[in-house]
Amino acid sequence: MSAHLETNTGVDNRKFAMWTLIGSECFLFGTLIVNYMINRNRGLAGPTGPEIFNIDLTTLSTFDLLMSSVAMALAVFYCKQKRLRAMQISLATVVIFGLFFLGFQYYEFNHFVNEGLSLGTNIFGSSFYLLTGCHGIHVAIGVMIISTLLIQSLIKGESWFNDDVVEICGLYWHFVDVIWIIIFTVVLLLVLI
Amino acid sequence: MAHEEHSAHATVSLYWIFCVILGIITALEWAIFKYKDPWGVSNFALITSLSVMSVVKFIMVVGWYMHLRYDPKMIKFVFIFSFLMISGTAAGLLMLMA
Repeated sequence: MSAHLETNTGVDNRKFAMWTLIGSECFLFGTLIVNYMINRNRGLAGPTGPEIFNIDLTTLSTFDLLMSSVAMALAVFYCKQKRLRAMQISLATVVIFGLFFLGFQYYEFNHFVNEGLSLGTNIFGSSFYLLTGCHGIHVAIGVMIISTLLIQSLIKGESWFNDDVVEICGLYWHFVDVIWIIIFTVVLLLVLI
Repeated sequence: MAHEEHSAHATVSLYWIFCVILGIITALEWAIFKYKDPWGVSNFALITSLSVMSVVKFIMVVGWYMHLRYDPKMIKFVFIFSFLMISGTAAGLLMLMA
């Protein structure tokens, strides 16, 4: 278990660094969302959002990511409670849900390309793929981070209870989920009305 | 200065209650959007309800799952300040480009 270090801010430096990263990521995704909102109706060729979006599938992937957040919160809780098996099951659940989300995204992108919307088709396609692709990359990084935690806990067993690290990685994962909550509502639902 | 401990923690039962609520809200979002025409939902009601549900989900995940509710003011400031800054910038850009 890692000890809490004395800091002049009163906050664990690693946790503060993660929140600072999350703050800067707000700007990244905020600008990408605005870019999409401005350019979504400016495509001169190719299909538009209402023609190709599949809300059923997107809702399913939203539900999937929300459930992964629940599993991540439980993993942090069980890590603090020193319940190794429960924590490992929760982390594995997060990884599985994350991989399902990436699978949904791959299927969706493949479907869109088959419908004629690629990255270079029009400015709507460019801004859509830039936003959702950037989010997908964040999910992939999150899956790799959580997998690393899971593997470390499996190898080291009871001697590995790094609750600070699990909590910090959890913050990243929840943030990725929060961004999808906004993308789902603003980008995929409100623009179709 | 010593590391500030959380004054309170969410429990497993609370996480599961939130899980059910998040699932219900997502299903509601889908249903309202999918059946807006048969149910006669106006665009204003649709936009308002989707926005409110999204904000509720956002607050639940950030406040409880990310423990921001229990975190020190400094962390709350970093996140809320960043979020408000980009929200204002986004609103300004959208008004400018509309």
